[in-house]
Amino acid sequence: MNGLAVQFTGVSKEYPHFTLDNVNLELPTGSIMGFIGANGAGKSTTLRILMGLVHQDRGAVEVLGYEMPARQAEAKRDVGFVSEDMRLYGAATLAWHMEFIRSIYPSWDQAYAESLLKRFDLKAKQKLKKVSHGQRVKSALLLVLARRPRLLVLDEPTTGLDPVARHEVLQALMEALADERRTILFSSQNTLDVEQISDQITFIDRGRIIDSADKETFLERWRRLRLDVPPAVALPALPGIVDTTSSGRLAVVTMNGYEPAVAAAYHDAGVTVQSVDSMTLEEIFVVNVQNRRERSVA
Amino acid sequence: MTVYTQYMGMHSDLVLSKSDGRPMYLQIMEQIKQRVAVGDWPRGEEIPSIRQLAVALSVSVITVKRAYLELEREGVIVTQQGKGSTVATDPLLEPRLYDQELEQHLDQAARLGNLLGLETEELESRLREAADRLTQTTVMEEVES
Amino acid sequence: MNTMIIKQLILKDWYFLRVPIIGYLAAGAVSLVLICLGTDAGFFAGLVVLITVLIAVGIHLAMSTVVGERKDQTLPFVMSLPISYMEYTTAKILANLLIFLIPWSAILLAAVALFTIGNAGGVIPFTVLLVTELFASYTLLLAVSVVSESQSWSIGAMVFGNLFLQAYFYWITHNQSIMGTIKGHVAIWSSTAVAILVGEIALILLLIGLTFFFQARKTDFI
Repeated sequence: MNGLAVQFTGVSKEYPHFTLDNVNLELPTGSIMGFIGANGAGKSTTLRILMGLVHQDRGAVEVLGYEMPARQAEAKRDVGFVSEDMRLYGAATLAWHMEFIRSIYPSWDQAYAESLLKRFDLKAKQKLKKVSHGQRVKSALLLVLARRPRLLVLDEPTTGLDPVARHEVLQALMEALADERRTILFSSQNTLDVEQISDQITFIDRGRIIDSADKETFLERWRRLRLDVPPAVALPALPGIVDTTSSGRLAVVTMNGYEPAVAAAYHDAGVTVQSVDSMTLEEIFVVNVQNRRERSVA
Repeated sequence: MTVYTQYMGMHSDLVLSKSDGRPMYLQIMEQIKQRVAVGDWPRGEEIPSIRQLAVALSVSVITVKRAYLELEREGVIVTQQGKGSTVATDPLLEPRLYDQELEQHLDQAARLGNLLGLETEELESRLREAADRLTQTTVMEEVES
Repeated sequence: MNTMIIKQLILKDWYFLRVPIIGYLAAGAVSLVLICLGTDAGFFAGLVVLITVLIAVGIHLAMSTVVGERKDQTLPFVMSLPISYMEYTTAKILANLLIFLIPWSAILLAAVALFTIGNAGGVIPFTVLLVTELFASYTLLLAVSVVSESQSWSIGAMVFGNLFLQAYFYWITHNQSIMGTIKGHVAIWSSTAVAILVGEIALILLLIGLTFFFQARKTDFI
């Protein structure tokens, strides 16, 4: 099944102290997108607009082919949403919630739900006001996973989870993708998790999408070069350089769009390339954001 | 920085390391080539689909896809549209893989030798010493058994 | 309208309130016992308890089912279900009205029955007018809670409702056409009494209508 599970075109939303500006997003069916941004960058606002919980001021949003927010009731039949600020009913147990969801969604898989109970190490009969943060998050995830929705929208699903829980959750998310008709969009502070399982990655900073591409392209394009610059030799200004730091003869150049021709260009200019290192997603993200902030101040 | 962790695949026996600095797709390629070279994944045998392997390893589909594309380019596996992937049937596959690995190690040795400032002859004699050590170890094992 | 989910949401609100509602029913029964003792002291004590019960049920309902969803942060969970915001509003209002009706109509019907059997029918119009005003007061609180989702505004509505109730109570108890026949055996509805009753019912319907009107204009639910 082809097509886009989610499409944002020119979406904007204004708040007194924050503006989401001209967000464009395309999420192909069957893939998983990691949404990375600092606190307050607009991740949660974007996801709320996606779910129809907040109306955009401008722009079009389509989820599973349904216009949002107008057709949100229909879209939400096939969407599972868990957000960081969401709570379940503390006075009830997980078992009660499972029954509640089962009564609403025909796609509920009781056997799968019970296997998730074991894997996530949850007690179905415990009142939810008494459980830890991690167990609460896992409970909410169980409730959306067990109905096997076509689209999973998760706001910080692994934040605050211990390493074992994170591993279980990531594995459960990947299992959902075994069905190529299912799609996942998740936001995270944990760049390692995003780097590990995402197909697509989108960076957001202060209300704007600053980069969006598939993961391998990101990891291939970004490089950190350690250079030996002899005295009286000028570092050539090559396209794609995002950051340069020098101390004495040694320079470290961070660039987007590295090709072997770059090494040749440096060589021709008399600069020795000591090493060309790939960068982790976290390093790429931080450099991107810092660079934007410096440019906006200048 | 990162703690060494192993991720055991459920349906496969590949093990990926997070503290290994190399890109994930290269690790996957290397592991698959090793399995093929020693015969664990025999020639012509069906291998997990891209999606199956991605799920088993908790790694993005796009990364496994890249690994498979590269492996296909190198003639290690064959992917048929709609039918999945199999190990290539080239009878020279295993020795070719071992040969590739040897080349990589030799390149690495040459680079290290250069950094240490060794002459080519010194490098050669070090290789000879290593080969001798291996022969001695093999002989001792045979004597003990 | 997705009636299945609306039904589930109403049942959900009932599930969390079933114990307190039983408690209020019991307190309501006590108030009726006191009223039927036949003494003046019993009558006033019973009246106070009755009014308190009906006010308390309203506050409990509005605060826990409406303001509570926002405070307890369960609103995103409910809105992630396949419903529109108007369907949520419908479910919330229906749940509140239906659950409120349980003790309200139980108390009203029991009172009317007791007074008729006890040959004290004259007090029925007064009782009906009082109890209906309490329903209207509750509807005001409900409307303000649903539209504002704010604890402060809800408390404001409670305060206003309480003040209005005092004024209303004073006015009725000083109205000859209503109080004149109160000790009789038969219920006599003066035209004033009927007018007030109709006015209260119209007010209730207006408040509910206004709630839906304002809810339909909202764009941000979180």
